[in-house]
Amino acid sequence: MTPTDKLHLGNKHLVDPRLYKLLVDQAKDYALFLLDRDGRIMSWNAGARRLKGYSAEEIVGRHFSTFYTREAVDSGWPQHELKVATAEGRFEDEGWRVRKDGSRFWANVVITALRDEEGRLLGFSKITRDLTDRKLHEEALRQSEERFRLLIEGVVDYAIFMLDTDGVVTSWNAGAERIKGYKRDEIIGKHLSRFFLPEDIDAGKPWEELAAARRDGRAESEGWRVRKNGERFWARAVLSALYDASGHLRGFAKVTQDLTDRRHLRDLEKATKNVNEFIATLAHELRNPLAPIRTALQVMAKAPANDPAQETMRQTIERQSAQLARIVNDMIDISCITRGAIAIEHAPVDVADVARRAAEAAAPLIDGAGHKLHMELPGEPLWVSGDLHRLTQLATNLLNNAARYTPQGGKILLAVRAEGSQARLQVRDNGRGIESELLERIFDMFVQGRPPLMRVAGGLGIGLALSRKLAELHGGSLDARSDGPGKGSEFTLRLPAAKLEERRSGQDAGISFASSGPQRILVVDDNVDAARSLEMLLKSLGHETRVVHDGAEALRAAPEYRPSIVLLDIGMPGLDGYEVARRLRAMEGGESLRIVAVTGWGQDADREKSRGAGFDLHLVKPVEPRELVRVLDERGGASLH
Amino acid sequence: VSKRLLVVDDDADMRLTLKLALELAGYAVDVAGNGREALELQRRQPADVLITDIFMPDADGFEAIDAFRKEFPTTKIVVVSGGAQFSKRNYLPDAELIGVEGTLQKPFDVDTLLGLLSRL
Repeated sequence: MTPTDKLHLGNKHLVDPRLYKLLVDQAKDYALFLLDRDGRIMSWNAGARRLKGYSAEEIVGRHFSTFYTREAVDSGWPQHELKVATAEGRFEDEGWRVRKDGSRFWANVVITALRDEEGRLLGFSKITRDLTDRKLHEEALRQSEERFRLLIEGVVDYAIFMLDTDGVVTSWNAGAERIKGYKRDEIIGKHLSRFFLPEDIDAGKPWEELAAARRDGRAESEGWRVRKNGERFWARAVLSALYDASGHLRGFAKVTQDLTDRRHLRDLEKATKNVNEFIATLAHELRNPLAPIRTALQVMAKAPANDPAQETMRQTIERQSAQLARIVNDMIDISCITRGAIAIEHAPVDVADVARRAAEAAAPLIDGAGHKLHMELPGEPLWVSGDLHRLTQLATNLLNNAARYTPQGGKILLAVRAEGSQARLQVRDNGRGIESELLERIFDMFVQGRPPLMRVAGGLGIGLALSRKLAELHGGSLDARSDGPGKGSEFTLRLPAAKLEERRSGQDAGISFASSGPQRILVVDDNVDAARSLEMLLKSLGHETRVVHDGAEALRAAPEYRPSIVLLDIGMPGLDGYEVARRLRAMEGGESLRIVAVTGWGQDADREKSRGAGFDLHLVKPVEPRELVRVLDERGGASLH
Repeated sequence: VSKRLLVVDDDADMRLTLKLALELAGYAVDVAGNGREALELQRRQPADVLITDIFMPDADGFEAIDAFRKEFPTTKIVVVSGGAQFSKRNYLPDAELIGVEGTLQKPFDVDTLLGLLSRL
C-alpha cells in the first residue's frame, strides 16, 4: 500500500491518485517531498528543485540535513525536528536553509509525521516555503526601527518619550533622562503627571493636555515642570497623538525642551528693564528736591552774611533735604518689600494712636503750607494687629501728600473709625484732586503716560506704591477717590480689626491699660445719685466711665463703648440686671466682659441667682472703695460670691 | 534797565530760591505756582522772560508756553525741568523743538541760568 492509495477528497469522491502526484510534482512555490523514518529524502517536486537547486537524481536518498546550516546540523536540529514531529505529529519552524549553491534562504518548514491506520510511522512529509523576501523586508523594517530608536534614544537636547493612551510612560530617551532626571527603569510605567507642579496636577493640567492632543492630534504647552530632584524647569513641549493604520489611538509621543536658561535670560532682561525704570524714577524723584537745595546754597554764598535770606534758604534746605531723606527711605523700604525682606510686627495697634502720631509727623508740611488739619478720632481705641511704626509711616505719607498737593491754606481731614469688622483711616483734602484715569495708576511704581500726568504721578509714585504695599502687608487695602481735578482727593486705608484675644493681649502688653491701670467701666444704675457717686469714685481712681440709667441703654452702650467692666445694678425697672447680664454675655466679646453686680440684695440666694445669670462678682451696696479697688484690679480673678 | 522775570514752578521752595538768586543778580522777579497764575500775573505786569517748569498740575508748562506765545509773543521763554535722563519723562528736547529760547535741566547752576539770561 502506498500513502497515495489513501488520498481522497471528502468521503465519497475518490480522486485519481495521478492527479495528486501532478499536484505535488508541479507545485512550484512549495518544496514538497517525503522523508523516510530516518530523514532520508524519498521524493522531490518542482518546487523543491526551484527552491533548493537540486535535481531529484542528485538528492533522493540523501539525508534532509543537507539543507541545514552547519551550526544547525552540529546542534542536532534536524534530528530534533523529526523527534518532535514523531512525538507530536507535526513540527513547524522558520530558519535559514542552504541551497545547493551554498546560498541561504529563509524557510518556513512544516514536517508532518505520516502513519498508517495502525499508527505505524511510515515517514514524514516536508513542506518548505521560501520566505526570504518577507524576512528581508522584516529585517529592513527592524533595522530601520532600530536606527530610528537609536537616533531618538541618543538625542540629549530634547526629552523624547512615548506614552500609552492613559499617559503612562512607555519609552524614554537620553534627553529625557538628562532633562527630567529619571532613569529609564524608574520612569517607564509611571504617569506623565509626575512631571507637573502640584498645583498644575490639582488643576488637572496633565489630563487636559492629553485630552487636547487626543482631540486636536497635537497639544503644545509652555510652563514650569518638575525634575526628579524637585527642581523646576521651564519647558516647552509638544504632545502628539499616535494612531495606527486603522486610525485607532495607540498612545502619544512627547517632545520636551528645557528652556530654563532662555527663560532666565528673559527674566533677567525684564529685571534689567525694571531696574532701569526704577533708576529713572529715582533720578526724577531726587532731582526735584535737589534743585532748590543747590540754588539755595548758591543764594547763601552770594547773599550778605546778615541777610534774612540766609535763614530762609537754610530752612529751604532743611525742608528739601528732609524730603530727600524720605524718598531715599521709601526707596529702601520698597526694595526691602520687593525682596521680601521687610519685617512687619504684629502687635495690637490703636489706629487712633497711628493717626495722632502721623498728624504730628506731618505737622511741619501741613503747617508750612498753612493748611488746617481737622481730626475725627473715636473716643476709644480701635485695635488692629500690625506694626505701629509702619502704619504711622503709611498715614504720614498720606498726610504729606495731602499737604503737598493742596494749594496753600487748604483743608485736610484725618478721620478714624470702625466700619464693620474693619478699621478705617481716611485722609481727605480739598486740593488738586486726581484725574479718574489716574486713580489706580498713582499706586504704580513706574507710571508712564502723557506728560501732564507724569508730574503728579511721579511726585506721588514711590510714596503711594510703598503705602499700598504696607497696607497689603497688614492684610488691608489702600484706595484713592477723587471727583476729578480741583475737587480734592480722598485716601482710605482699611485694616482688619483685631480679634478680641489680640485686643486683650494688647492690654496685657500694657499698650492700653496695664492690669492695675485705668479701665473702661460702664456703670448701670437707675438711681442717679448712686450712679454718680460710683462714677466719682471710679474717676478718682483714674478709670474711664460711662453712666447709663436703665438696662436697654446699657445694652445699646456696651458694643459701642466697649467697656472692660460693667458695674450693674440688679433691681431696675424695665430690663432687670439679670436679663441685662445674660444679654451682655451673649454679645460679641461678651464672654470676656467682667460683669459685676452692685446691689442692695445681699442674701445667699441673691448671690446664687446673680451667678446663674452670668455675673462674675456680687457686691453689696454701699460698696467700700477698698473693695472696689480690689475687684477692679482682679481682672478675671477669683469670685467674691 | 533790569529785566523783569516770571518764575513758574509748583514747588514753593524752588520758586523762592530762584527768586532770591535772580534778585541777587539784579533782576525783578515775580513767581507763580502754575501756568494759569502765571498768565494772570503777566497780564497785570508783563515780564520780559518766562522761566517755567514743565511738570505742573493744573496748567502745565506746555500749556503756559502756548498761552504766552499767543498773547505775549515777544516774551522770551526758558524751560527748567527735572525730567530724568533715562525715562520718557525728559521733555526738554520737546521744549527745544517748539523753539523756546533756552532749556535747563534741574538741578542747575544759578550761574548757568544767569549766563543764559544775559544772552537773551
